[in-house]
Amino acid sequence: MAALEVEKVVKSYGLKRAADGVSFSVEAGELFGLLGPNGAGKTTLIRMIMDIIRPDEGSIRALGLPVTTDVKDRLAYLPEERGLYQKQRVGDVLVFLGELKGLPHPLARKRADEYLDRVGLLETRRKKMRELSKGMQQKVQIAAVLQHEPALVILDEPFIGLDPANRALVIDLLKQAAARGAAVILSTHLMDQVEALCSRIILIHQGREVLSGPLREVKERHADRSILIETDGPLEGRAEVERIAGKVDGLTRLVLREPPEKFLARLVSEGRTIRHFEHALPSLDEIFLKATGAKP
Amino acid sequence: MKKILVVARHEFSTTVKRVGFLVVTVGIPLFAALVFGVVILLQSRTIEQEQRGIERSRVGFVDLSGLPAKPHPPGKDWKSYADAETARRSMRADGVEVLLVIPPDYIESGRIEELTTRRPSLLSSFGRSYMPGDFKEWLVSRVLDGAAPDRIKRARYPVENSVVQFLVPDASGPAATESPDDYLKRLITAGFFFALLFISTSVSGGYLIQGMADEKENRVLEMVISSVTPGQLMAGKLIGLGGAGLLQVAIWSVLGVTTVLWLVTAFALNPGLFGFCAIFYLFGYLLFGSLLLGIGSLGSNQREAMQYTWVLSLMNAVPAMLWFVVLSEPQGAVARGLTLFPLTAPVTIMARYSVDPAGTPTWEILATIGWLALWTWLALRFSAKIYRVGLLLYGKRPTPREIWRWLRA
Repeated sequence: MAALEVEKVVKSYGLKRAADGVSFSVEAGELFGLLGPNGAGKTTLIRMIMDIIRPDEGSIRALGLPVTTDVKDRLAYLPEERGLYQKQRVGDVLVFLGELKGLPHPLARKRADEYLDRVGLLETRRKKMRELSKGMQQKVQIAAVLQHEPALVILDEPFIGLDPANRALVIDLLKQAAARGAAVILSTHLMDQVEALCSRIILIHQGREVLSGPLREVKERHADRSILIETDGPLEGRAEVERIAGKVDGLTRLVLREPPEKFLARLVSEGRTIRHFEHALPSLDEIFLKATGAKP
Repeated sequence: MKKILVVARHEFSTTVKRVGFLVVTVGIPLFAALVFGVVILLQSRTIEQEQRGIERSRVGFVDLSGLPAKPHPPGKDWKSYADAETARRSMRADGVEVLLVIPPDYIESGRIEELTTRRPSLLSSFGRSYMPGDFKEWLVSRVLDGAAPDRIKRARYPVENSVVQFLVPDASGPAATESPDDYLKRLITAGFFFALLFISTSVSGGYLIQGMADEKENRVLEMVISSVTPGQLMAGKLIGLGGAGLLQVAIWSVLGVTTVLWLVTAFALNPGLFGFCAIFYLFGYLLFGSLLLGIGSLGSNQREAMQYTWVLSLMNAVPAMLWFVVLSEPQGAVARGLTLFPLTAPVTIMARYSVDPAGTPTWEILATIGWLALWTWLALRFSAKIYRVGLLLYGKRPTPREIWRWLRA
């Protein structure tokens, strides 16, 4: 059973279609990337998944059920525009949010401490939220989202404002959640994080799905005749080489006029020493720019 | 229901723990009581001192009335003058502080002219009489010269004890009677619930708007409504902040002990009326509260939310302006008209029933309950729809067309 099934969902605001027949599913234990440029309709889609707004058409099922209050207890959502009660104590805020997710009061208190400890902020539990730095508040928000150990976690731009150390901490927490069996959906602009974390992605643009699938497959589908090569002898001026696209980690990146396999065979037949030969897959950034028609 | 209670508890506890709540609830009444107490104490002491001074002072008088002469009341130094002009010239030299002139037309006009060298202090009341108490009795004894002392006393106090009973009409005409005290207690019960509704909708309404504006400004709402429905959030807020408002009113009532004693007596005397008023209070609070939340959610911050809800606040004050009209004519056109309008109906029907329980038709009471139930349900439903969208509005003012679309969705 998929943790989330989104089926042909449509949502319009006046004449604008924020979601136009989007479908995808996310499995339990999977880290999934929901990508798209600003205004693509990601937040609308997430709000529909969380039953904050209702779709005009289509259906959404989480954990095999329509999203009702009971199901919501097993979901978690970190919105992009987020904050917490500034005048309240950190511990009290977490307990309240835990209880809203159905945790009994004593368990909510225990979990609040446990997750504050996990994000390294246990000593702040009696402090007012406004006394914390922005980065610390963001870690409290992550703790609030994960403390009830949800089966489906949706995070909208979770890494913005975090330094590399805290980003690594959050990534670690998300990996732990996935390892526990939770489906994790990341909506982010940071493609390197998606590449490092997600096994599957969907890219939406102007409310429509532009591409989707396992990350490796998506990359292969969008691969051109680029290779990374380390060999003896010159590569400039060869008829098969369209252009030399620079150096990557000491390797030369070439864009070929013929299939890479044929070029490799040609070099071997010439008796060249080949120390590294790799079919270079495009980066997610490149695919994103190409698919959405945006300019870098 | 569990989530509603979680929200309600959270709203209640965070509100009552605020410094502002404690200051407004306990600090301001205590401060006001302290200030008033000091003023009243000073005032009473000043008046007492002035009174003692007057009693001790030498009193002059000019008697042009032609009434039979009588010995002056004992215990005071009286000084008689032949005419007012002479008295004015010599009263300072004679040590006379108060001069009373009884004019020739006293019997017809009852007028006495008072002249004094004393000046009232700021804390005593201006313009009050400096006439010694026994001077009036002396005058009466002269007017009724020859009458027995008990007649003189009765002339001075013609009515010392009157017993008023109100006739309560029933179907067969006036029969039962009711004391003014009982009538007053009924009025106080209704008045209390009116005040309770006015104060708690104002107080709780303020908290509702402030709390929601804080949540919007803190960007916490989207996280909260991913766990509860907007309807549950709204209901929890109405209960929790309503409770905080009631607690505040209760503390104020306890600080004014007399109010509590009156209420306990009124409840003991007429628990039915108490229950009647409590039902309409609940309708009134839910109606106002849900509309405040729904409409207030359209604002991005507290200032904008207040701009949207000022009309409601005005509606809340309308019964206060027309309270006396309703009380004087409980079955009149104004009272009946206000009963038809949902926002003024709870207070109006409470007032009408408390003043005139027999004259307020049962069908009208039941119809008002049904009418208010319908409007409360509609207000909760429509407000929840606006609230659902309004919660996520940041920095954008919706157009009336957009609001209409949300309501129809």
